[in-house]
Amino acid sequence: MLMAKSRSAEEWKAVVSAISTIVEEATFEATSEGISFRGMDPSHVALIDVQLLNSAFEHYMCDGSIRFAVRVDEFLKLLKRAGKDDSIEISIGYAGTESRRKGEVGEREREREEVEAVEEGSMEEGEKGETVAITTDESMLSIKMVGKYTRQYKMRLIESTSSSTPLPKITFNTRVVMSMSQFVEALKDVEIVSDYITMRCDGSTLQFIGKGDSGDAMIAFNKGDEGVEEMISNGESSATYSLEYLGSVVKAVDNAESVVVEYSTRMPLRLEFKMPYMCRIYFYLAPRVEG
Amino acid sequence: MPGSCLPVVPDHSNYSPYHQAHRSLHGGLHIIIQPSPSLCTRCRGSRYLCGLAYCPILVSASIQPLLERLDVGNGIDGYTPPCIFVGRRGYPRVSIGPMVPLHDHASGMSIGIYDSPEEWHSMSLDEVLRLRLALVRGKVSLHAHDLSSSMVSLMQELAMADRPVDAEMLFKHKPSGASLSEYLPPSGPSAEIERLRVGNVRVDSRIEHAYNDGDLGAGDAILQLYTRGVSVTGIVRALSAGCLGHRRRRRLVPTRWSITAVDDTVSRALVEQVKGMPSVDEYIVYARDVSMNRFVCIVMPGTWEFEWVEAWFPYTTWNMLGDGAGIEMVGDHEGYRGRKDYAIVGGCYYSARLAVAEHLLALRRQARVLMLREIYPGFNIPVGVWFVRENVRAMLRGRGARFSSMDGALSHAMGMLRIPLRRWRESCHMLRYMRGVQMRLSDYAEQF
Repeated sequence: MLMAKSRSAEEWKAVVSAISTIVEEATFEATSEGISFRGMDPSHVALIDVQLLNSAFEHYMCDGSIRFAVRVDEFLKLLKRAGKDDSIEISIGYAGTESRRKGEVGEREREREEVEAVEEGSMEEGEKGETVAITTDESMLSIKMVGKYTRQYKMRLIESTSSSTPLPKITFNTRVVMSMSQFVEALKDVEIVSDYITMRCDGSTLQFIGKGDSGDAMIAFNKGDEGVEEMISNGESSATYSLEYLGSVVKAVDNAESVVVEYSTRMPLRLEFKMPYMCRIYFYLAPRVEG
Repeated sequence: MPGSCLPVVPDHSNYSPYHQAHRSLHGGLHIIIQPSPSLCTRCRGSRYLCGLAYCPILVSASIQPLLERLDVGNGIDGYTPPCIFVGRRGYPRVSIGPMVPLHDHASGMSIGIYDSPEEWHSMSLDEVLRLRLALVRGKVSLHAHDLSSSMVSLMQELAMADRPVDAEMLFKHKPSGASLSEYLPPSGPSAEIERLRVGNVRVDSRIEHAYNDGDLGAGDAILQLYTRGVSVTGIVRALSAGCLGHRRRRRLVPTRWSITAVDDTVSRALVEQVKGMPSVDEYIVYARDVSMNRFVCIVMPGTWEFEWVEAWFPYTTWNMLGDGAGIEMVGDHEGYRGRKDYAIVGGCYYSARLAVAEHLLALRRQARVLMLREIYPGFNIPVGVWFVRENVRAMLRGRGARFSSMDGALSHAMGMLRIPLRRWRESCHMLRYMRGVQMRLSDYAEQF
């Protein structure tokens, strides 16, 4: 049984749309500590590692460890129905009747739901009981959004894969923390002229360089500039990455507050997107190496 | 035959006879450029001395007597391969009708070849033109969304037929004209239908199954038919006649659009499968010469990427009007994530991508694929995208030369092409960025 309720659907939208840029089917793992996802695109060029800690949720319950898999585009379609201020509750096999037996926590939750229902005045007591009863199905993911009115979706889960993706253990020579909006803009600047971005950093300046048919682009950030929170580099690092991969993921999580850029010369890049909530999104990307 | 080896094509500096050539009227075929008679008397259709990809005299000689037999009074009675055609002009009003060859055939059995581009790669362009220009097309004008008329159900039945069907057409006027298109296979004269009679049809159960499934979207239907082994042409026919798709959204689709729709839909699905496969581990170069065209394909290790570049020499189909000095190069590229906009080069991009995706799927490998095509003077008629699809398929069925390095592969490929590498680099994305290789996270496995 899993139940995760959050005040806003924004972080789910960001996480799932980031995942949608690399895979079509995603297996999530839920434990009492939170919900996580880790997966690589079919060509093993990019990897996404996400952790939604239990503290990120307004209310979180999970007994044991549950693996569940979804078709990402379907999940995203449903999530996109949620408005900005709607609260969202994601659950599997969670029902009022069952949770009453399980004890206090569930009881409290049920009470809260009843209160909501009364407040909205939209649902009869009997109807409420019925809606809750259907959610006990373990093969369905239930998504409930409450805003001005209540939406409840049920999505069929698919067979989950058991293989686990290891994280590349790499030491990074360069680490830059900067504001997400500036990072997004800089990528767009380079994208105008090139499909690839070369990052060069010597500890005092970070350069984004793009070379294309129509011309070259060079964007520079200096240590201490507004929006640049941190810049450390052990020697000079220079590496090239495909904007095709980078651009789409960054677009998906552009509501992040800041981004941690870490890489080394001719080595993979790691981006950590700092989300407004307790949610960590890591993105790894293999470099493009000039032969 | 011109298919197997390229005749020596004069450099365009001494190519002036064509510049001066006038267009003739061979049986209403306004497309043929007349070579000088002194060349023809020496060649007599055997050696393609004129440098054209087909012999205009032979093609016209074989079509002419057939065309003369055409009359309003006697109409045409024969077999349809089956073949139906939907014209795009005036969309959403379209002209739809069957095509019946003028040639006499005792039975319908060998007639399938008229509408099977899948088999034309081993024929010379002459033969293809001779077949196709003798196909008479009947037309009825209909609204693309109106599938209720009896003509449409007749066409749908024909589109599903799995063998030639007995057909008789009477026309309102004498069929005239001929059509050569960049997208469509060539076709002969056409006329409005006065009366149409079609014999018994035996339908292909695979297409019938998709036809009866009114909940199956057109895209899924196309893929289902492809996986069940229906040829691209067969799927195109069914899609054109409005046999596929969700029951309320079916419509008549102009043949030209439906060909590219099928090529695109199928190749996109195949590429998605290919992306999950390991990469090839060496460089493979394929080549094919056919009818004044040279195709070269370089398969490189890496994640899926595809590029198609065409170089039209002066006095070829799409480079006819210039001063004869410039080679026109045009191409399109897609990266790992595919493309969202329509390729500038048009339908042949998708046809080539389909052939390449089929090949990679058979190898169970993904790769970066660069396809170059040089079109030499003499190839001056549009024949349809089947020419690209079937020739690329045939090329990839052949044996490739294998190399361990890009330099080796590239110099081998350039040895077969007339345009120098420097020139290719200008219009070719992958050659420009050739030096870079996309690494995979698993390449850092020792650090995992």
